Amino acid sequence: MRLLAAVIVLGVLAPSAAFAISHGNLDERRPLRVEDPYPVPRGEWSFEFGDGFQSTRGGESRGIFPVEVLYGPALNVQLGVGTTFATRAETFADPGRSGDLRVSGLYDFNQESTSLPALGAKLTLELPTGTSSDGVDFEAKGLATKSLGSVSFHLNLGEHWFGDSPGPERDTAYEVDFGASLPFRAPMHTRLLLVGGGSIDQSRVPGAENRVGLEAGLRWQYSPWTVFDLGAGTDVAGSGDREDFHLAVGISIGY
Amino acid sequence: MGRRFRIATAGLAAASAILASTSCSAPWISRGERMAPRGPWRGALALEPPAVYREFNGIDFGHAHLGETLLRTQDSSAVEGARVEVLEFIATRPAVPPDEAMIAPRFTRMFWELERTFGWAHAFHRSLYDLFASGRTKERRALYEKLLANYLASADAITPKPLDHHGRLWGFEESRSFRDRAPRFNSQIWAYRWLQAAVYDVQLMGGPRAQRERMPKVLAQYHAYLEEPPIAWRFMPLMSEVAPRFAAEFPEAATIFDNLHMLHDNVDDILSRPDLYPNDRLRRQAVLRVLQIYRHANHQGSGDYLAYEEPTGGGMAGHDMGGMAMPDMAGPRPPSAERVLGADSTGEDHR
Repeated sequence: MRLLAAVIVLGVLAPSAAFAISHGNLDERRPLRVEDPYPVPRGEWSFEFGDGFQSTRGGESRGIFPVEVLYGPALNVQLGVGTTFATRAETFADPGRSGDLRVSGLYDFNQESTSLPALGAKLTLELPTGTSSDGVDFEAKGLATKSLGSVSFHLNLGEHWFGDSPGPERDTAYEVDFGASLPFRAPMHTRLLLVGGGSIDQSRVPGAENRVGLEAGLRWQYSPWTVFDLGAGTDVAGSGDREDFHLAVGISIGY
Repeated sequence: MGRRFRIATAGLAAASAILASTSCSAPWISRGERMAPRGPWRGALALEPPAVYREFNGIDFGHAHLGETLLRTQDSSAVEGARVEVLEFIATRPAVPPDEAMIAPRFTRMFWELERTFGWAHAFHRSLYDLFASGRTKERRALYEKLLANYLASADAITPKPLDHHGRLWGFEESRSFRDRAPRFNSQIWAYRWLQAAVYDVQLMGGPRAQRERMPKVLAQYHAYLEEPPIAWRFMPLMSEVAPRFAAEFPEAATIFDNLHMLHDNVDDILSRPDLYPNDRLRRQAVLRVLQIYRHANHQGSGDYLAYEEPTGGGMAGHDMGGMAMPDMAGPRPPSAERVLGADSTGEDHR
């Protein structure tokens, strides 16, 4: 815990760097679900923390606390380890459980050019270390980013394999995340990035309505090594305990 | 729907893999970003003295904004407008290095290999400033060698061998175009380089406290150049002229930075000549052709690029011949940091 506090303090206060952490790059849930294919640079660590609130149509509300550490072990490669803690952990399913350990690997195939989008692939394993968790989940995602002028458009297509599907539920479901990002008042100002997007989650119960969500947020470069983010969203379609509203703040600290 | 989606996902993954493993007509470029070396010196420049750090953040903006502007227009009033915008940005004393991909989105997407080269050299630049600002005088040499070795290990490194700046690298058809078409902007860019060099020598003259006392004079001279760009200079400032201590003590780095600055000038010249390079494909080809000349990997052993190295016996990195053999070196040349500091620069002061 002391180490964690030291990292946060150092990241917020440390004033300089040869390179700065890139607030233009989108990581999953920092602040939106959609992400770009770009990894952290080789040798860089990124510590990402969040604090949020989520309420569902069923009347449940809870606090959520995502934590993730990213590292670039090689060029164009990013490894991540993280989890999300939640209050009322017994009812949290997102789709992993509170405290489930997430291990991910991302590979970026290329840098976006004037003609080609940037493409990447990400694999994530969710281990049942959390509350009431059972079975190992697996997700494979394709990531793409293409820009027009200063606006970048992002698309993620993913397939989620559930390790604990009871009876009638699907073993696998698809996910689509999409969004756009825009540096606010660039080129003269580049510290604030506005982001907006949405997601479609295939319902785990065959025949039920798919969950459709919309999100908006921002990323703000506070110092060379520190980026704050803020995001909010709601589900506009879906059955069961679809989300009424969520709001989250986060901090990413490069080292 | 589910099946169709899975097929689409698999298709995206397969397309990615195929594109990654084959070369196609569109440029397929590795992002290849590296983190600058970590060490206890990192971040020192922002604290000692912080004004310099903020000036350097402004300079980063200046280079990127120029490249994007020249891709967009050759209109002289628009280019002059961009120069004034750079001054406005510098005046904000930016606390954070700006994101060049946001300032120059088209330029960075079109010339990513060049951006990687610039970015890696700038990281080396900043690492040395941090090292010299940290007051680690005794370890300085060893840490410098470590940073240099780390820099040169990358495929994006610029050669530490002196190149033929006044001859072949200043003798392309487009050479001098930006200088002659936009003299004020060009001289402003050269003023950035004057500051980048001068700061090194001020750092080598003394410890952090002495640097803090001496730096304002150098910054005042830099701002005088921004206010009235030194258009009488006909060739970029050289490390050996502005920072002779640095060039003598750390010749490899000084040469890398002179080469980096010459590469910047070559690119500005290419982008200033739409008559020679009328479309993006030709501009990209020209920039990549020039970039290859500067790469460290192309100056090992033998090969075509050795012809671009400075002829033996050039002396003072091949630049100091009193302007006789090199007309661009005649007339006023940038002063050294020591000259600007005058009496304040005598002796070393390790406070």
